[in-house]
Amino acid sequence: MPEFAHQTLALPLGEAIDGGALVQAAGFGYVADMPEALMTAYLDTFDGRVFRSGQVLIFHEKPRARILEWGLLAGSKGTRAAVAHIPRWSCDLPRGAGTLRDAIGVRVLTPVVTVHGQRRVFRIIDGLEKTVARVSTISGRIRHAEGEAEMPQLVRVEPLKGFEWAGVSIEEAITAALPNAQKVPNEFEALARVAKIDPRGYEAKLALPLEPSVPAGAAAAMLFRAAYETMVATLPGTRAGIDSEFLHDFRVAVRRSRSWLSRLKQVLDVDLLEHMKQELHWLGGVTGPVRDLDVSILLLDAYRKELPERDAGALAVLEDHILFARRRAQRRLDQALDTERFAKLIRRWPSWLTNMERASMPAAREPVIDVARGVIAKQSKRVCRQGRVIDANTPAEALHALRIECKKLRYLLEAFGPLFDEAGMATLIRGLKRLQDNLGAFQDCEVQSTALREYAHEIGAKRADTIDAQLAMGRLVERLDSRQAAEREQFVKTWSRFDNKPNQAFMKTAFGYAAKRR
Amino acid sequence: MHVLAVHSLKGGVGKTAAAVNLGYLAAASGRRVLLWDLDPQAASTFYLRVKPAAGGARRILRGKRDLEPLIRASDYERLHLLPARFSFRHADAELARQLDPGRQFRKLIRPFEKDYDLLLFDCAPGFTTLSESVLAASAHALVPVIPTPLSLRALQAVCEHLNDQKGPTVQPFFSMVDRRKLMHRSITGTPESLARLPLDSMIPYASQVEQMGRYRAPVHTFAGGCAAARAFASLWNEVEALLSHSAPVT
Repeated sequence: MPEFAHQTLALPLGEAIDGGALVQAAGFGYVADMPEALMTAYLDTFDGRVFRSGQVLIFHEKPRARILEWGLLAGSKGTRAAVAHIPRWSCDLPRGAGTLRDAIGVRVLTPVVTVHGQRRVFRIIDGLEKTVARVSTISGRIRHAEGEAEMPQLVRVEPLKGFEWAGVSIEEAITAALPNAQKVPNEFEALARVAKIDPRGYEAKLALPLEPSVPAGAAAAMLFRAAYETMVATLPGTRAGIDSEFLHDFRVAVRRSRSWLSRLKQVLDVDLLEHMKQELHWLGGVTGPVRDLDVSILLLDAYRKELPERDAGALAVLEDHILFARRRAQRRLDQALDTERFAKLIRRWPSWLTNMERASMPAAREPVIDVARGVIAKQSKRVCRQGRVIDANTPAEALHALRIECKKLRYLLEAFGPLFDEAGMATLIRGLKRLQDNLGAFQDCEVQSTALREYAHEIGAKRADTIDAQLAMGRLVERLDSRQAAEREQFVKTWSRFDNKPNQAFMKTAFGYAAKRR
Repeated sequence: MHVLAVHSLKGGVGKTAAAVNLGYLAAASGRRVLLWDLDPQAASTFYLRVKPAAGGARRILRGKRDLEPLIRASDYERLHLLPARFSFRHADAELARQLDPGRQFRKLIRPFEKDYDLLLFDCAPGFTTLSESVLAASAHALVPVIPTPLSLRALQAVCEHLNDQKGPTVQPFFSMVDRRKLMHRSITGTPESLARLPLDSMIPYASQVEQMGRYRAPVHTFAGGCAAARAFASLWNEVEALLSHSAPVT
């Protein structure tokens, strides 16, 4: 909608102003509309994808309409459209919200802050009593997941299409009349800050400010704190089971922790190491089945597209079966997360961090750069040793084992990345990522093929009228097998892109690892 | 974007009142609405308190003038107006020179697609090259019909003509219905007449509709509870249902 971007001013907390008096004092004639109840929800994903992409997404519940407003913050005009309900997924967004849809991806949208209050609109009129601009005051309270907060009164000046001259002059007059008010370029950010919420949401990607001279024990504590914060932040979403990405990030945090435990054992207390290993192994196990089923659900659409229409239709049976199994697995996961064992793990984690900071092992007091060099060199060696012996006849298990070692290397590179040359590290991680994608696709084919065989048996045992579905699954297994073969062929290329001269040179300079050429 | 035209062969049947009130109700329901006043009498423009423009029809109809800067916001959120221009009285002469005026109109409205959910044309009365071009670009033609034999005859002519042209679907509704008149009662009350009109809503002959000229505003803003306001709301509900079952034109 070619409405012009409005200008918002926020009064200091606790101060309030009468909009009518303000407009009159600024020398404009006005008509006051009836005050209207207001419910405005500022939506974002849990990891702040809307905010981070420089956009805003607002849902207004009005007496006769539900309006969604979105747009880029950087000087662009906002767009508004009527919607039937508050959107939850990117597919619920109206046409024309493509940029926003791309930013949101597969994440669920939630109201981060919601304003419940009152809006008073003062229509600025010209000599013909035509409305040429709108000034509105918004007051109320902010609600968010943690509770409620007082909000500053907002004064909005809205210029109107075709009457921009009026908007400019009233904006100047009102800004001059409210010297204590602050200009608010992004209402969502301002309200989130008032409610003491970080508008960027939580960050699953590691970005720790590590210094080379920090003792290794303290650096380990920083890493495990980041993993703990991710787990705590994604726990409600994992329990709710509405967005598969929560569980995914939760599991990545668990896997990173397990990987660091196994590679940083020299800086950790032996008892603590064994205890954490045991508990995280258990946690990885209880979260696994739901994630496997999430992957199957996410793949269903791709499966349908691959098959002819008749076979694709038969997959409805498979979908029902997976969804049923997913619900059952989620119940089991919830039970595991409700146990005293898990509660204790979360409760004790902060004390483990203190233990790491004060660890008495000699390696824990060494500068982190030295420890990082050693562990990355060792892990690189492991990856290179396993990767170089893979050929066309190597069993699938060896590729899976290599994939796991690659993951461990990646977690180390991400954790200690800030200590090394940025460009060299980026190139190395890029090559490794490509290799992981290739190995991941190979392994997914293996896992999905096995899963489909199991589903076919389970479905066949339950119902007799599922021959079509089983045939369709058989075709899918065939396709997965041929794709797996293609991924294996691709391996030679992706491996050579990782195990190349520039990366080897960087590994030698940065970590002191010199690979022996075959 | 959905495109609707409010059109009638006859003048003074409540076209402009219907266009303005439907535009207002559509915007109140959250849609982004553009009302294009094509009638040189500029009644919609007057109702929405905007000054009509004078010249420029030729350049507009040839696609040589950007329409976006000509749009004006109304007093109501999400309702914008493309004001009437007196020079549109020469629109027929200009359009007659073009090979395919309907296509030219579709081209003219294409830029509105990204900014609006609904484009509503308030047509001048009669069958002219301009109105035929507008109808060619619209999905539905809303036709107000006064319950008199002459009006029904005119409606029949419109239906036959548009059916031949494969034009928009014709959606007539009774307008200016005066229950005190026996003829109005007998026409609107007979199954035969009702069967001819797909839209059930009937806009009454009411002083509040005439008062739109005094208040220069849609009926809902100054007499929200009156029979005419209720009738326009009912008409909008029917039109909204119609839109939900039809694909956007652009």
